[in-house]
Amino acid sequence: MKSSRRSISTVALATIIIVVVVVAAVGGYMAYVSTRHHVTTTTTSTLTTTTTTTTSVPVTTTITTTTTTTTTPQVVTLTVADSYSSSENTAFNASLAAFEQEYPWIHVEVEYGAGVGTSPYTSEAQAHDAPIIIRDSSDSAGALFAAGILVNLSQYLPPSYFSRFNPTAIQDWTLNGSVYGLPDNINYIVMFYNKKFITAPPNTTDQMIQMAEQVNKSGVWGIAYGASDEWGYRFAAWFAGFGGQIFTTQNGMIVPALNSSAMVNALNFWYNLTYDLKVNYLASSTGAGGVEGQLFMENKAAIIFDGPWDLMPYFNALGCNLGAAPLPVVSSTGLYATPFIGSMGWSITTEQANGVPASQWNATLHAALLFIEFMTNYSNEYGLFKYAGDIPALNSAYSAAMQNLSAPTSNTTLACLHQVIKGILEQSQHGQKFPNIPQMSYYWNSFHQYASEFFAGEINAEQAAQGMEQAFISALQSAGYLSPVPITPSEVLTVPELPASRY
Amino acid sequence: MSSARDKLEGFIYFLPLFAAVLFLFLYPLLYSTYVSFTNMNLMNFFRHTYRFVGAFNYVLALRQHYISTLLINEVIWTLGSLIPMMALGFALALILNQRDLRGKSFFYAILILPWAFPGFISLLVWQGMWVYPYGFMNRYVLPFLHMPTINALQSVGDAWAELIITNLWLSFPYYMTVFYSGLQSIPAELYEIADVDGAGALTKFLRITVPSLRKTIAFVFITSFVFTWNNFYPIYVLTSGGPGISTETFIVYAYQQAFSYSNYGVAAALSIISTVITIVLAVVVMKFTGVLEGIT
Repeated sequence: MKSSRRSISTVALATIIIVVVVVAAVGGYMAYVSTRHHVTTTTTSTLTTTTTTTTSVPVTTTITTTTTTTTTPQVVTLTVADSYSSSENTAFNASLAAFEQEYPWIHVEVEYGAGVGTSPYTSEAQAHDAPIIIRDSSDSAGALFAAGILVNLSQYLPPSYFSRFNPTAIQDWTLNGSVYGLPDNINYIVMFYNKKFITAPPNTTDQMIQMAEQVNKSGVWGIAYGASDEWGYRFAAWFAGFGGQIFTTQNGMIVPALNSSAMVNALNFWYNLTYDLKVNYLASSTGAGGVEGQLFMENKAAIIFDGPWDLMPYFNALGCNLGAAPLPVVSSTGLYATPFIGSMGWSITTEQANGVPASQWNATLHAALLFIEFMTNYSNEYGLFKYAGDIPALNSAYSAAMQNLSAPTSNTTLACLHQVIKGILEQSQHGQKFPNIPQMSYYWNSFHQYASEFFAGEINAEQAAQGMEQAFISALQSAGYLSPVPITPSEVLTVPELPASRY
Repeated sequence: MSSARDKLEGFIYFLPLFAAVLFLFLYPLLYSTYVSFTNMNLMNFFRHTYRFVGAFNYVLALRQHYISTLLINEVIWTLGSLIPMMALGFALALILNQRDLRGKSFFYAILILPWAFPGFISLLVWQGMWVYPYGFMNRYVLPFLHMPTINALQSVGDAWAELIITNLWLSFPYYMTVFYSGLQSIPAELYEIADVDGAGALTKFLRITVPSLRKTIAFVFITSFVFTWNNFYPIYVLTSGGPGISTETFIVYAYQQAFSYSNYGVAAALSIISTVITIVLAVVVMKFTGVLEGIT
């Protein structure tokens, strides 16, 4: 009996020791993986000798691509974080199929529905597990680039390559002279209006108020703009219209400039429209899926401010009653309300961020460059315009889109859609560069905190302007941005040799 | 010799738990503490150029005016949610525990429905229901009850009401279930004897039910206090801490510091401050109320 107990005890003991060893081994391995650093070695490789010649004709919709492969390279797998909407994915999936057909040696694994911003990728990069290619906004990617997570494309692509794109879009993707992504669209907000209530779009804010008051009499909201749910993206247009700017430079240092009469006037303007004139509905959520969009699509609001990414839901709901026009001139200043001209695009993460072994990095980087070039070429950017109404960042695709819009058509619905898109494109004449410096990421919360407090009636406009500036400064200080230390661009330790013949 | 061997053997039996605690609890806690003493942020995180800054993040956090607001908000959120949640859960458990109640299983199944939905999805549905003035609550329920409508964008009080009511709906099945199982463990003989002695309903409740459930109440109070203190999603989804930071708690603020501002050092410091406050409060509650005596 005693022997039996002892043998059971021995078995139990052995089991426990095995469990401990396994747990310790797994834990130790995880700890190792989470803290390991890649040893960067300089390697040169001439794995591939692919020659691609692309000829784009802006006037017509044809594209000639000639590919000559002289050697069969090793298969490369690219992980791609795709942040496209469902309508954009229709175009992307077609492009992806074409890419895989053209480059059978590149296997692409797509993560659909990836987030936009810095946070999805920073922890992945820290674990050396970031996707090799990401699609992000130019401002978020700017912060990732400054953090050393993205490849400096200027080291691999000649300046002439970037000149194919809209200059503002390329500026959006440039930090300290280095380009860190290729834009696949430009984006900004415009004024969408319902022609059932407003026959011609207002050119000034005074006209806009008059029209909104008129519409309000019929029980329909003149405007639906959730100013209190604002994080400062759309409000930046009104702030600029009242003469303000987010940053200024003092002694060579970039500092916030939110505490200004422009901010006070812009806040009071929307407060007045919301609470005094009661022509603006303070919506709790934005976009086609939010309350603003729902009211607009149900003919319960005449004017909203949104981007072309929501064009199709609005057009499907309102048809030829949908109109689009630039934001109006602020009557008290004579300045246009100028939205951020932002851009979405493709970037490549560094080998330190994505964990690709140094021995495979040359081939992977080459494949990644081919991928982002392909996704921003003429046919794909035009495809995004065609399927999702995206505004092409590539000059040739933009010209083709414009030509397409001007072409006569007997299809009434298509003609109406073209009119709306023309209105959207007009806005690009009155925009401001979307700041992509890392300091910008500290703007959103600072603005939101005090703007929402202001629209809840807790503080006045002066207090809100002071508060958001102070919060902005505090955030920058705690992040070390208000010290005279310059922001260093990403350092790419290894510059692999790539086939130059492509350019 | 045998004693030493027994001790060693005992220690070895303890090792799996120790290993699990080490990797699942102690490592994150110690790492957070370490991060809170560095200037880690987005720009130096990946390059590993962050450095030790002593108690700078704590000083920075404690010197900010928002710290008192966050503390007050925590108290409103935790006690404002916990008291009605426990009261409602207890009341429903008492009702379900009535011996002559028909369709008990049916009612119980209905009442635990909020548990059947993923919390995040429920919150998104509630977000839509609170839209002013078009959402289901503001359009139908509140007018039907002759109650004022709620607009969280324009009133701090409304924002708290929205949060607490939603949290109440999400959480009451838990309290109801725990109290209900506690009530069922009370021997029926106690009530029968009390009936013989001529005790009324209130006397039975105060002299039998409450004392018998002391362990359950103690357990529920302490665990729920800590859970609600750190409950992140309702606030993040419904109000994002607004208007301003009127409904912001430590955990939401720390999240924003970490993932909006990428100030990982400050976020870790805020988390540690919040943890210390929770531990202190829990110790005080346990020490002066003796609520854990029944458990330990």
